[in-house]
Amino acid sequence: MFRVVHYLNQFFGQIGGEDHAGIGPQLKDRPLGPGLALQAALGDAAQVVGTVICGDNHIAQNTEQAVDEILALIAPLKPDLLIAGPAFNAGRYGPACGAVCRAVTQRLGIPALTGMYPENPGAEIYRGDVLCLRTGGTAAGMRESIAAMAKLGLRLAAGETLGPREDEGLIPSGVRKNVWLDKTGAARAVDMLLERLAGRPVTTELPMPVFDVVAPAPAVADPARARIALVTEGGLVPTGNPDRLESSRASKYLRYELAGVDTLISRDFQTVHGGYSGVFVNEDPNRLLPVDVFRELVREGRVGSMPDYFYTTTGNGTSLENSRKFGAEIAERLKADGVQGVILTST
Amino acid sequence: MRLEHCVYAVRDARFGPETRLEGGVLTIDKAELLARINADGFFAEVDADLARPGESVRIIHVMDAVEPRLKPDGSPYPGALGPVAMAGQGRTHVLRGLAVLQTGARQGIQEGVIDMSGPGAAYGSFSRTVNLVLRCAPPAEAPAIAFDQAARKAGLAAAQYLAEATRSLVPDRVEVFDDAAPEDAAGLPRVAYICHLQSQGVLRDTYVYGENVRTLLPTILHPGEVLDGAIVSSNYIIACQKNPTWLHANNPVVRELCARHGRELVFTGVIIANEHSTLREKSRSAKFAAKLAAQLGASGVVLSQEGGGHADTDLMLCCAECEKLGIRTAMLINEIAGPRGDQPSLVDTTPYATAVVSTGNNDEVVSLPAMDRVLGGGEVTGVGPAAAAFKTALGRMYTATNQFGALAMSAREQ
Repeated sequence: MFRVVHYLNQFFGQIGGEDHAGIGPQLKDRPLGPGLALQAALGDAAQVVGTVICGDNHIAQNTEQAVDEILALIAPLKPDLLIAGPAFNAGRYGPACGAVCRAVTQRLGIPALTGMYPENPGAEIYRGDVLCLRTGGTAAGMRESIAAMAKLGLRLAAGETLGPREDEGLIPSGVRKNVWLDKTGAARAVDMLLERLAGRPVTTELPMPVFDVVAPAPAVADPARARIALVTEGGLVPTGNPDRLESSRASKYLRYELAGVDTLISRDFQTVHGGYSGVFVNEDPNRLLPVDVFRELVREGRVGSMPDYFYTTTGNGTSLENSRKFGAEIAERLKADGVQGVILTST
Repeated sequence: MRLEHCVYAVRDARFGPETRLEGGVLTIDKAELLARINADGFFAEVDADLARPGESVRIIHVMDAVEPRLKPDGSPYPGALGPVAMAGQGRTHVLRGLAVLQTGARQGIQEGVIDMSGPGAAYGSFSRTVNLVLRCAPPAEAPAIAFDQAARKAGLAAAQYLAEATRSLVPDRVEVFDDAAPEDAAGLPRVAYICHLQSQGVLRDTYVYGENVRTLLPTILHPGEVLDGAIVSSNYIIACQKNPTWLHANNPVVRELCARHGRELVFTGVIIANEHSTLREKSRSAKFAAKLAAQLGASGVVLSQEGGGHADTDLMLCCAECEKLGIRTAMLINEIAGPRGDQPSLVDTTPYATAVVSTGNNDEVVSLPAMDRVLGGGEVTGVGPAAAAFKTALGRMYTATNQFGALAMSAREQ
């Protein structure tokens, strides 16, 4: 008989509502609330040997410490499986279930399973690391969700490898891994086309990603009083590329000084960007980073001032993760320097 | 039109006193080869080495791969090597199993790595071929363009020189590419192939019959022309997604469509279209390529890409234009999903892209072991000594996620 520990928040753990959301982790030696249905669904195959309860606010505010404490309660019970929730669309409970499942899987090496509504923020944060049953948005679906989690949980406890997440009723991980198939890409493409031409449905190997929509910031109200910086992803560096900025797939951004530089000359600056022909930039680097014109605008009083430096990176196959990080850090540094606007030249 | 590939299988190669092919072993007169590829004395130094599948060898700075071929009465890469002649007809001798690899450093160009054994050997087409690795050093202060032209020509010349050994030999087999469809083909779907080439500036260019396609208005090639050396690569950015000359001349999509021609489909032709630098040009090219597919009477097209990033837009626009004309599409694209595989895979999309084959995630990391021997250079750009073990994104692995679908790799959500 497998040993199962169940994780619940203060509400489902029958301690109380919002006014008890601050309570720290505690252990009960029996199934509680949804745990009763879980025990019924597990039948003779497994026993709920303990229920760990933690307040939603407590774990949300001190996640790392709370998870450590929860793990310290779970480990001595030597479970074969942890079930968390289901959390449905509860916005703090979902991430709590995700954090506990991830820690139990990665640090204790014990299989864990939670359940939530796909739009629960916990699903977005933890779906890459955690097995998460797709549930409805409210606790009205408790009975079916618990039954499905019991069934999947027993297979996990038995060490079974699950099928593709979608087929198992789990929320897709959002994590793509390279795999080897039987046929070449060319053969698969022709197969796929012939299927479509025969009027049969096909399953794409690459569902189109959904992008963040970035709303442009409002225009700088009065450029003549604004401090405006120059930033580029065009791979502009001092000649010789002293800091070895990558030609593609950049791992860093760099800052270079412009003090006393009135115009960029090809002896001093070059591009290392691998995604476009650098000939025109190397002839006249102002074509990429318009220092010459910008200095003029400042002299004419049409732009308030510009910092005596620029930020640069290479936007060529650079990961979204890095791009986000570079953007956030550059913006933060510029903001700290009193910059109100940026000319961002892209290539 | 009818093209015959007279195939001579090569299972090994070695340097020796005279260039000849015997029992599947190619002996190469190295001095004569080097003299041939540096006939005008442009290079300061030329050298060649051999690397075989299974050896503890890492080849770095890979720029292009060329299949050794001979056109008995002309050039196997017409226009790029020798005068222009229409490709795609008659007999072409092919040394199958051997690749000429041109290596060297180019400014602003990312590394291309081939491992001949170990886990890295799974990623790419040239861990399975016997490779003649060329190293052509430029003279001091040679302009990048002149050096690149000379290096490209040297690779093609080496390929022609090696295949010369087959001139009077009987081939191991003959592959026939004949566009005559059987009479009962009438009910079969008509399929065209839109092959995107990437030509966007020096060191990222592609040549058709010796001319750069940077300003190309999409045009139609006979499948046989593609398989007979009409397209030559001079495009070296992001190694994993390059379509080298070798892969153009053995284009897996063209071969697949030829193999099914008259049985499952009618292959109506190859439309080549460039991936441009501006939206205006991209849009013009996409509409024109789709129009050509309609003109060919195609009810479906396969689309393939070279490179990535804003080239996604060329593919997506072309896909949408075809679908709007009622022409069904299937696309070959690779992914930039990040090292963990949790980032958006593309930079542009269209709701019409419902049938996409993924050739893998460029960003996935592989661990490469130490190797005994390194060819093509000494240091891997951004890594260090090339013989050492290191981890790298597939981005560096030459042709790992090429979008002709040469390999059986894909990426899947877990």
